[in-house]
Amino acid sequence: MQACKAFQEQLILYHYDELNDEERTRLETHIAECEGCRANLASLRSLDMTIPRDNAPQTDPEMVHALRQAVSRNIRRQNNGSRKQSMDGLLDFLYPAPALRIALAAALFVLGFMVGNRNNDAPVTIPPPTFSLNDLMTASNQIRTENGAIDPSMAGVKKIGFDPETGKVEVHYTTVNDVFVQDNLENPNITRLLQQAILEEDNPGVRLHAVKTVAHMADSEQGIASEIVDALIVLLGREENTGVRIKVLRLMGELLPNELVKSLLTNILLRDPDPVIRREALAALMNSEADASDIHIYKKVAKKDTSESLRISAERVVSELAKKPIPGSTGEENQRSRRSERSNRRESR
Amino acid sequence: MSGEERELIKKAQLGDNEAFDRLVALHDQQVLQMIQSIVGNLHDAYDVYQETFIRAHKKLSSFRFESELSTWLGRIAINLSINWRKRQRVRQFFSIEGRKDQQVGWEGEHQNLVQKSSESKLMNKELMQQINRSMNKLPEQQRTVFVLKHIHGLKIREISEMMNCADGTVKNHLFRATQKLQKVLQESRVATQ
Repeated sequence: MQACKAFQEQLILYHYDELNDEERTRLETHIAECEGCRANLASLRSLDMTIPRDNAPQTDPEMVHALRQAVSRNIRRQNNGSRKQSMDGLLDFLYPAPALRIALAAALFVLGFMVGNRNNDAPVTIPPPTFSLNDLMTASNQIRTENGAIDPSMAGVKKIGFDPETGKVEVHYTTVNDVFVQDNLENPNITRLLQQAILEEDNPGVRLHAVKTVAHMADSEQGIASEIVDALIVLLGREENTGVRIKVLRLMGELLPNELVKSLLTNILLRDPDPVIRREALAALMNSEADASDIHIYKKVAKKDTSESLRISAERVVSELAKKPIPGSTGEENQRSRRSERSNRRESR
Repeated sequence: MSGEERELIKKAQLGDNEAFDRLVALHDQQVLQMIQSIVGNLHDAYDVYQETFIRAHKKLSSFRFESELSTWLGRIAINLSINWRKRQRVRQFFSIEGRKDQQVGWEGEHQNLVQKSSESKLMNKELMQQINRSMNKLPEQQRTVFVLKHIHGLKIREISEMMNCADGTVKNHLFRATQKLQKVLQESRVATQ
């Protein structure tokens, strides 16, 4: 029997104790008179028997402890990395609020100008800041002072000192500016930047774009520097993002392979848990002129891989490789050996 | 939010890593349970857990004390968990064996949740599989609301804050998810009678 349409949603909210007193009383009065709604409520209760309510999965305390430590290590590692890039010393405690850093650096500038303009004989007193911490936290990057705009590209303060002889504050700060460069891969700076994006960039999207860029360069038949190939090999060994891995594997198939690349691809084909990645590794190996001496690898995949489609693909590779000449011998050598076999047979006759 | 927690947050916002570690210890069990229920796979839940707290650390300076920290952390965890499931679905769509052999979520470790109940032990295996499959087929938002309400017993207001949507939207998701699961249960009963 169907529940009344007008009460269907209310019944569920009633079941989950989400109705206010008035709504609950009204619904209970209705339920007492309506068989359909009573049946619906019973069905909701039977759902609780199938999927127990308020039954969150238990966590393993040891695992939680290990996870906490991993998070803590990760955060400290990231902190150290950022500190190297930004500033040492005084403003470290402000990490990780860049707006706060810039705002405080601006404040120090203002103080510097104020102190610098004072009479040298007068004792140096630094007035307290006239803004609250919250103001600093919400300050925009461009901070205007009485003396004009502070450089909005300021990244951090390297050094601050006070010279008692001149009575001036010295601030050595670094700036961050957007830089746009455009050149082909022959420019070592472009190679270096690409290499850095492939290996050092935290954002997988940027890594993906870097790999795609190299792929476009390969498509347009521009030479790829060996440093970039090396970076791609390193990336392939440690990348966790599936999208980036697929792109690198496809690119590897197109680039001229070396033994290291081949062994890495073979390793992925045989051991990677992700069948999508294994399939890409097989395709990359096929692109790079599969060697008949590796037939045992493909036989293993054809026999043991958990993916049916991969097994079929590997079987196809095995049958193609079986038709190929004996590894290590050139076509000419093969012809010569076949000729000498024929002449031996004639002589024996 | 207790005064002590507020102080810890302020210290962590100024870069005190020890304070952040203590905040993690205060909330991580609940966050992990939530992730585990949504992701449905313990191994991946550990990855999402780490990503949640690393992101929370990066974004903590933007926390303005307008909600409980647990709600704020829950929002990050839910977003990351839903994104993880979406990625898995895409991966499985393109992977023949993924579609055939693996299902995201409840087919895996979550089957235990269904089996925990003594009465459900008596239920036939087929029904449990059907419920699991139906839960997996629910749209992500509906499934998440159902898990947070039914398994974790959160209030609708808490869920709406975590999922950054109106109470009405949460009620609607809960209504649709529950109705679909009820239907599966009723149909299987009719079939067995």
